[in-house]
Amino acid sequence: MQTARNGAEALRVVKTFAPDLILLDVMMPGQSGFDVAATLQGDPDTQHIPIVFLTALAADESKAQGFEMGARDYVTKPFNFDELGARLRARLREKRAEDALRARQAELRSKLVGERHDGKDDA
Amino acid sequence: MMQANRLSAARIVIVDDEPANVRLLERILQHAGYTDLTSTTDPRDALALCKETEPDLILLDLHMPHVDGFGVMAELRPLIVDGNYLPVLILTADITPEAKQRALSGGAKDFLTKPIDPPEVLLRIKNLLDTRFLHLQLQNQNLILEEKVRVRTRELEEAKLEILNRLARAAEFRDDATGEHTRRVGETAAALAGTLGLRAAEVELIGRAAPLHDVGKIGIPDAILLKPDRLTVEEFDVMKTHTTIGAEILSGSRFPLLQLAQQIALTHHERWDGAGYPRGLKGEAIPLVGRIVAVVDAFDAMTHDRPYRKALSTPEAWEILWEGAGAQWDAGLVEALASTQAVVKGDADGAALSPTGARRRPAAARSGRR
Repeated sequence: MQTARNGAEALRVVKTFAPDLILLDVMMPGQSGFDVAATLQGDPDTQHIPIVFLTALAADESKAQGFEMGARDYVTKPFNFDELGARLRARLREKRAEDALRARQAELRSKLVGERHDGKDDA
Repeated sequence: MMQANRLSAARIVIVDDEPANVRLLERILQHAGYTDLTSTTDPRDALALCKETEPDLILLDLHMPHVDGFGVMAELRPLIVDGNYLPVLILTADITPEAKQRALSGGAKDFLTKPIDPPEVLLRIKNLLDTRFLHLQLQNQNLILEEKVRVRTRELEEAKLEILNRLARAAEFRDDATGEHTRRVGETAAALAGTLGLRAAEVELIGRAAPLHDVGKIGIPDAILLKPDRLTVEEFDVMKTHTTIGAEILSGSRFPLLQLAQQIALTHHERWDGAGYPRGLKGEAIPLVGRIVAVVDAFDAMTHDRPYRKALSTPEAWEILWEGAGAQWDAGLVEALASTQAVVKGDADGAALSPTGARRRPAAARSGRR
């Protein structure tokens, strides 16, 4: 586990650490958590890392924005420690299942590489 | 993330014992554009309902008579495990952290407390459906890719076999322009291997390797290969080299099929009594596949026209085979070929195939083929 105290630091840490999951505050000095999420979603290296927002912003509009940014979950403060843990475990299970499917896909694509003569990526 | 039409076509099952709650959820969902809704107020129907409708999402109450939400999730477990990714959203008045934690670790993907906040319910439903469809999309892409890999693999396998057959035909084109002899030797060798009780994979391999037995003939000059008269000793020595030439052409492969074909090419003119060529191997020192093709090749050559003689009748050929059993050929294999032929031909030549009465003439057995 690694921590970052603001958006810019978060982006650096995520790039080098390649986490399985990101727990992200929204209201931070400098970039907001939504900005950080948008940057991560736009980067092929980080777009598949699930983001869970943990924030005091409880308004429906904020939740909507959070999910719009691609969040897998949105937890409001104050939060219960065990519930947060259970939610993160659920998201991690999803992530592992998706990773397995993506790994299988990469394996299958590599089997088809080099034998294609039509030049089309039709898979 | 997902197209709106896919989302609104999502199948949603609602399980809540309180009809008012079901109606409220249905109204919220319909207002948001969801059209495929199924509900029950009896949790005992939940499993059957989910199996029947194959939903994309289950909205589940926790506190219900007969079976509570945890019980329903336990029943649904085979449907909601990660591999299937069928999300369950718990909607309950129970706000204790213990209930939430238990629900989430019991297989629920999300948890909301009543009274429900319609915008948040819709947000979380959309989130769960997005994730569900992402999983399904990945699974579907993988299925398509797997099928492509299967097709490609099968095509490569077929191409390999076709090329081998054409190689065999090319090599024998000068004296077997139709390729019928190579084809028949493959088929009969496989049938004989089957009679011997070899495993199906070995039978198939033998059937595909056997047509290559004479591939070395490509290195034999026309003057010898196509000579209508008897060969001189010197010419016959050249003719014999088709075994080693064939083995050379097929050598060094990492494919079992070609390794077997090499063994057959090299040993299909060895004789049981050790008087064969090229190495003069004797008895079981000759690989089984070589002994199989030796008898099959001889029988087929004798019963069909060759440049140097007309075809013998089947009984005449059998007479020669029985005479040579135990000398030129493995006697066990001659008998096995007889029962193979009896099965193939419905025993039409039963009398000719009988070992008794056909061994009258202990004359020197000769192969009909060089």
